[in-house]
Amino acid sequence: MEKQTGTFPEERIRHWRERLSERPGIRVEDAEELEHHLRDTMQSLERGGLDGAEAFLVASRRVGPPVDLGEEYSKARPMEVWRSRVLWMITGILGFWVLTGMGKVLAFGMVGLLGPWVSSGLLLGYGALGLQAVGWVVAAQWVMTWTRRNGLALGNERVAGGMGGWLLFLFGLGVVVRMGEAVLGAWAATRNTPTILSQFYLVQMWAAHGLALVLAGGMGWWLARGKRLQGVRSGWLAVLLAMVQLLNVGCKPATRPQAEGKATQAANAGTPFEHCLALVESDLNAAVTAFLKIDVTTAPLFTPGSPLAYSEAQFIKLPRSVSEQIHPQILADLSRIKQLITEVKARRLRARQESNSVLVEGHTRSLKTLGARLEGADQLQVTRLVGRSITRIAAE
Amino acid sequence: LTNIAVLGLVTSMLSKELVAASTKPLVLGVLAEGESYGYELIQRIKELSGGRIEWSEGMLYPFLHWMEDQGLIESEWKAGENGRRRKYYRLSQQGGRELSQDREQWLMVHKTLIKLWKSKPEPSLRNAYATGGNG
Repeated sequence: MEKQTGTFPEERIRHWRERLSERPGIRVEDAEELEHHLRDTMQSLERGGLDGAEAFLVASRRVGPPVDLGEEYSKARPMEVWRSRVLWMITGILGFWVLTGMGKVLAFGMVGLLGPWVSSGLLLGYGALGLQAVGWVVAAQWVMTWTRRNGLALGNERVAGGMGGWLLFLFGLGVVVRMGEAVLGAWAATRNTPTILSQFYLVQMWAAHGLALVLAGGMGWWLARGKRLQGVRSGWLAVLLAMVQLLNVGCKPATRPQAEGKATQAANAGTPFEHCLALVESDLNAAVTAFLKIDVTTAPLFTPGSPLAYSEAQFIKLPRSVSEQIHPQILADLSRIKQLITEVKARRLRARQESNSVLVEGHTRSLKTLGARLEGADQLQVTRLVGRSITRIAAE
Repeated sequence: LTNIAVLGLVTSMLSKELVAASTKPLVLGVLAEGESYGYELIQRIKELSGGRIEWSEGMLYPFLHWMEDQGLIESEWKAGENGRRRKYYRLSQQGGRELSQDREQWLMVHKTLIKLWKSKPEPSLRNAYATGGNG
């Protein structure tokens, strides 16, 4: 038997009311009304000679078990229960979307800021994972507090009206977060080497989504505990969504670096020459200055696996779907090379006009070396054509 | 209504079917005396029936909400005598009309049964006729 203390009945009444509020069909004001009934019954019993603990036990039995009460309320308001189910499902889907988006914003922000100073992508990935875990715990705590205060019955007019605005806000927040994720992702990619990025993605794709799966499932379980149907369905829906998300991102890493245009181009900026190409569209002058500073005589021009790193023989052997995906990127990269060379040629012309022979020679040497490298037998045919043009320009 | 009443309201003396049928007129009848809250309503029924009709208490509330949705009663939160707010129920116009209809029907059934059973009373009912007598 529980030891009676000064706050014993109050504590028990609070727990009893919390259990009532957790029932899907019971509104906050229903729980309040039932609590008044419980207290009235307790007062009457105490006048009859029972102490607080005994009065509580008898009164709570007379009012009835919360599970049965919840079922009776649900029968009295079937539409409300359905509305509540739908609202919980939408909230779960939007909540998961927003939270995973926020997690990615956090992760990209972190790798973008710290990447240039930290040599390990794994360290960055796990660091971001830690922050994401804290975010999930805060969100879970908030959901628990909210449901304790407001109950699980979202379907009545008063709560459902407010829920409309709240869900709209959640959707808007999700759109902003996802846009932020795209921008930060592209920014982070320009500031890190492919090795760091690939390590970081490895942790984020699997560990972060695994964490999201476990925590979303856990939250669903917590909401569903001891209840029938509604919460369980919402919980499993969250788990299902997390699994879909996991499969989706799990399939991405192989194709992602070649499929995301400018951001990926920047992310692939592993060699000094690729770094120049990544700068062409945003800052042509900086790209040319960087190009003239690098020595392209022997160092690899392109990162293995990037579109221009393929030889003609390798490219021909690629599956059609892959080669079709890569082809536009090859053309885009060659176009950047042409823009770069056109600007170098213009600078050489200005140097000639200014009779700056040192600069002219330097520019010519860079053009000649690059042309020779691109004309090499290990290049794609189309790249070799570009290389030949550059050699001609160098000789002018 | 039937489901809620049958599953929710159990009495010590009446069959489930009779509870299902009688709960609405009983609630409407008590509220015709004036507005009341759940606990008071239950106590009043207990008092009127001499403790023979005893509802499963918590289950009355979903039933009251159902009646409110049907427009038979209205509710309002008010501060009670001890400062705590209470939800008071009162009869609506529609509830008043429903009560009149119920009253007519129940009295008709009651009179018929009394006539029937008084003409040929069961031995076990003799005591009941002798001690009852409001009917």
